[in-house]
Amino acid sequence: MKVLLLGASILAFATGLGLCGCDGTAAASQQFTPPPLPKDWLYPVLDRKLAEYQDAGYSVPDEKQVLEFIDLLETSELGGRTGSMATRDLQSRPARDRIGGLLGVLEKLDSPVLARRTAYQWLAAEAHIAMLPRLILRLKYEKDWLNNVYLAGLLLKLENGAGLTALVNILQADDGSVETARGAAAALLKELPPNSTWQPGADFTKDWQRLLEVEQYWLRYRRLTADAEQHFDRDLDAEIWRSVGRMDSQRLRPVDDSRFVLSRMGVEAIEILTQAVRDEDQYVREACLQTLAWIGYAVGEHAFWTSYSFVENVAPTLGEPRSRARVLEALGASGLITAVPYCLTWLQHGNVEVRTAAADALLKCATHRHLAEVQTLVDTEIYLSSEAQYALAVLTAELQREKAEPEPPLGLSPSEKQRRDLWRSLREFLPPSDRARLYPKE
Amino acid sequence: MMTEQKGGVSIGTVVAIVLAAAGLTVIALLLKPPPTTEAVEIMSSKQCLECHPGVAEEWAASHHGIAFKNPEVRRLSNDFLNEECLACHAPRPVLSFAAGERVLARTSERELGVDCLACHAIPGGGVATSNPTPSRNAPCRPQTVARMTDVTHCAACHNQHKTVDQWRASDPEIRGENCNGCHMPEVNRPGGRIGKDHSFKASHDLASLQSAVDFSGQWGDGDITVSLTNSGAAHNFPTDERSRAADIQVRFQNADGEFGPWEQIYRFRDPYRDEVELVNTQLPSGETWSRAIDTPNGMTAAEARIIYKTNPFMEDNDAKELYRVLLKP
Repeated sequence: MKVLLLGASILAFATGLGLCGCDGTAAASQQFTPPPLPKDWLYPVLDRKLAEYQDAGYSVPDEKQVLEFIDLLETSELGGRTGSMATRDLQSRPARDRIGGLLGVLEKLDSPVLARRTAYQWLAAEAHIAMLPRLILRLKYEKDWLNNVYLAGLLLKLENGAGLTALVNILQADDGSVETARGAAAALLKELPPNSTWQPGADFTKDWQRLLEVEQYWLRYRRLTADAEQHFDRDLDAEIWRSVGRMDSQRLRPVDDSRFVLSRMGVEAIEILTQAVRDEDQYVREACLQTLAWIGYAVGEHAFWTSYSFVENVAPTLGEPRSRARVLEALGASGLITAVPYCLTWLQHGNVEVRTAAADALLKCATHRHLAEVQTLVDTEIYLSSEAQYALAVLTAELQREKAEPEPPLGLSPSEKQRRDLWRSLREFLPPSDRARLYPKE
Repeated sequence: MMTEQKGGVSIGTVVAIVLAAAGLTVIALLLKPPPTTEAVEIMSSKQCLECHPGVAEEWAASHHGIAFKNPEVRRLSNDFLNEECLACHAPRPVLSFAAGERVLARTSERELGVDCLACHAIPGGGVATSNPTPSRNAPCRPQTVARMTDVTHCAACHNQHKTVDQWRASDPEIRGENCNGCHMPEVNRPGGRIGKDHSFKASHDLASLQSAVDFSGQWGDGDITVSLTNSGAAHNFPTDERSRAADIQVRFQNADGEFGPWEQIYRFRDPYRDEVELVNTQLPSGETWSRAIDTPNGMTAAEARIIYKTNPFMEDNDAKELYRVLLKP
């Protein structure tokens, strides 16, 4: 018994010694407790949605089926009895499979240019909003200029302006070999959304001007016109979720493809991406947050004018430390004033990485009413990266209406400076837009 | 109540010994002389450079060091407006992701590229090292982390084009234990310190390229034969980036002793996705490629060479010539 007590007392002594030896670091650290993640906030969003939409959207053909579709498309162009038979064969297939097969022809990288051209025409004849995600990805891979015009036209028909930049580039091209494509692009301009002062086809200069106007409007608001409706379609949602579903890939290309597509979708993608921010997979969360950040102020416009609780739906994910910087990036990029308090908090209490994201986010969403708070934080002795220092300097200059660019801190890469100067220039469009500008017809 | 066993050791004694041993261990740990330096919270790789000037010098000139500033990368990434490139050119600490999984981009100090923290920072604080006996006195308080020497550490970026998968499939005799054997050999630094080379020599270094392959040629009856063997790389040659290309070229000497222009014979390269007419011609580890080329009439000799290009559009004169052989009857 005595032996046991001796052993126990040595252990107790040692433990006590250890406890006394604490240097008080914890006590001395700043008393800030990050808000925890709400219970069950993160869950397998993606798995559930993919299961929920399993029966919707278009089919994805295998290699053999794609070759069969190519054969049918090429034969249909021959005319005569054989051509008619091929056409009837295509028409007789269920729409889900036919459209899926035609999209498959576009997706096969080495499919013949003419087969792709015919596929675009078939798809244009039965254009449906659910085609959008797979069509938009073609903008990344379609190399034929004339096909790009067909693609832009098809997207335009589906009220998506992601192909307008290709039209601008084709019309600007100083290359005689693309005259056919340029002619087709010029002809397509009459399909641009009308307005009261523009007569399509009357004057190319005015058509060109209208193209640039609509393109800018699209880039800013992710809609072609002020009165464009938000589409609600189960097949479209299924296709968007499938695109989100590629974001957990370890290979980067599928992730890049998804970000490319979803950042070029209309406002339909915003709410789905926001839902996916709650996915338990870090890669999915971060790719969705980054995509929302790329969409930028259009997210804020959408949230403001539809009363969609974007900030409230995204901010709780700040409780997940690994995604915190990306959450701040998406919050700030929305330009919503309700995002500012989160950015101010994390500028003060985050690590270097989070503080940089918070500073950048503030540059995108803080307003003159936050100037004093920003200045107070800048004056405290917190370590800030050169990126964060410059972001806050630019913001302060902007809020104080100083035109001159602040001196960049030592070690800041010129491209990182340029990035922040660009964000400053975009603050002109900070949401919410004047409702009259967004909805001029009202 | 404790039970006693006749002729043996009591349970109480065993428990006491265990408790005493645990206690004494704790005491020993507590009484060990404390570090004489103050621990420093590492927030930036710039803090590392002061104590590790030799490593810093190697790293700064390496392609990890210039990953974000490299003009070629900047051009290809549209000045990083293509933000997807940032993940591997300005990554967050690899150790904050599961082993072998890809990294994500950081938001701060991007100009440092693949910096010290990218490989050494431990999530939650601290610095990782592969050294099994790290200095307890170093202000950064390094901790031994086994993953530092595992291929998964490099795979976070370098397996995007399957280099690590190729390594796994290669002959164990060639591949060694990890990537470090070839790309981070031991170096002696000023002051007598031995460490791992942080210049990460690879495709930008002529000696590394030469150590990867054997090149030979033979004059035959009416033709010449050239061969390339991937004898030294435990991955394809070339590997990783699709922009890398290695070209085999020959030229013939006429009776007047004049050499004609170089003729392209073969290219080793993994094509870009949209180059649908091309196939992957990289040379796997341990394999040999050979080609017979007809000798034009009247030629008295030939030269064959292999040149290496860091992008497929590079002019021959800008490429690195790895080997050149003179072939005669």
